[in-house]
Amino acid sequence: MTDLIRAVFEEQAGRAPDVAGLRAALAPGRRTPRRWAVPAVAAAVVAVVLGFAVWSRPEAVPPAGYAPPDAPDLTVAMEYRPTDLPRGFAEGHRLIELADGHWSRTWLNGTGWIALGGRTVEPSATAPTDPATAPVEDQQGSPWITWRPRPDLELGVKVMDVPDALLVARAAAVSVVADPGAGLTVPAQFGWLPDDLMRGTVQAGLGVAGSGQSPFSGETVCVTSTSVGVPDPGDHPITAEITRVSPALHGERTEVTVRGLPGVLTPGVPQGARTLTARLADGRWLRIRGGTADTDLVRIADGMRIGPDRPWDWFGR
Amino acid sequence: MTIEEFVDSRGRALLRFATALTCDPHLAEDIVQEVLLRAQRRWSRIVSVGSPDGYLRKMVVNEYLSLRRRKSFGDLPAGPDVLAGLSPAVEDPDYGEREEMLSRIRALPPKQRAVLALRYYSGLTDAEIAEVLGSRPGTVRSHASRALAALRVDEFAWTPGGAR
Repeated sequence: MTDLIRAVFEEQAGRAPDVAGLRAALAPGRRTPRRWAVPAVAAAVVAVVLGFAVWSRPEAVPPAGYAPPDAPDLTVAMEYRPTDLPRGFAEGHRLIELADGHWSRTWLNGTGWIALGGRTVEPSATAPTDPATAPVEDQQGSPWITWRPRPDLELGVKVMDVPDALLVARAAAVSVVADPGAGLTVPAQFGWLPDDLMRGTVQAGLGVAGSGQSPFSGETVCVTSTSVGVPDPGDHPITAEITRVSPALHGERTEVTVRGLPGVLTPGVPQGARTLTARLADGRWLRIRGGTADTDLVRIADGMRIGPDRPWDWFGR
Repeated sequence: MTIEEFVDSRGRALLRFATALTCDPHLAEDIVQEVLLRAQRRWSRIVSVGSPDGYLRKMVVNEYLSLRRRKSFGDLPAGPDVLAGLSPAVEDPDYGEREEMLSRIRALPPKQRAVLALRYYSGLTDAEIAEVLGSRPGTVRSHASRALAALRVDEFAWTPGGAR
């Protein structure tokens, strides 16, 4: 594996710009303006690429009156937050699962993360209601506590890569309070999709997880699709990412026009997939990946509704 | 050696290191430029204590880690012609494997990524990396161990909703 790591670093080093710009910047009175975003990460300094949605149980039901967002400016409420987190954690990721409306908020500290999720469920008289006594489940080595502040609402706290994770999870769960007004304003959304696909998740934050392929570091908006009739929540045939971080392109390119702008199609990962990369008019990069026809990728890109590039007021807090 | 002479002879290597570290040539250029401008003000002192390479590499790492802690929205978008400036198309059957690994490296916490870049790109020992980061060799080994574990684990398969 170390050879592969070395190869990746060498390849990246090979992308280094020409030294002439540095020479010019050192000239008296000269300073080349910054051309690119420095990803805003505030106190959360890690690009964690993990799943943040914590449920796949069959009893999840869409909230009453819930409908998948149809406009980028729709906000999905996430009106709970923990108030007792270890020092150094800041919120760095939010997620909505469009199929059932469940959501998660995640706080990061550079090495670990603490996620709070919520979903509407069928009312139950037997489910735990007190996070102080709710049982702890083991989720791939991470403690996970769920309880119901209301009969039809389940909240859950999951902690990963944090010392004393069980204590941290319990303290975070017990400290959860209402957070009126909190939510995620959907920053982008698919428009047209092939008939066998439907909208999956909407995520915003650091190193958001997509299809298991190539997430960006830095702040990223990611929307995924899922296959119609396939109940596997990890199935995301098409993933679109919008980020300020410039991508690396590999393999043979096919030039296309995307949203009236130049773009390129390149081979994707895994084998057989394709990647469409284009620069949006506001300077961000749009990257769509999937195992579908090139013409469909372009049509998906053209049909996407993409909101403005504006700071997230919750990010880094 | 003047700083201009340093840039002419060693600037390319510094830019390559910064690009490997950041995985972003534009960010790397910003960082190196910032570092050089600051180094310019005390260049005579920097060269008086020996080769500036290590000192500037340390400044680059610190600037990178510092940028990752600062909140900034100071981007000035470039035009769409940037696409034309990206690397030329090449036939490369192994790109998929490297792309996957690059994704994982990019997802590492900054200090872990810095440790790997210093170890596997610059070829530094753990003691030398510790000196760059201002930490102990044991801490470096811990960062490296966690980073390598993260790169091994197929966390990317752990997609939203897919793993509870």
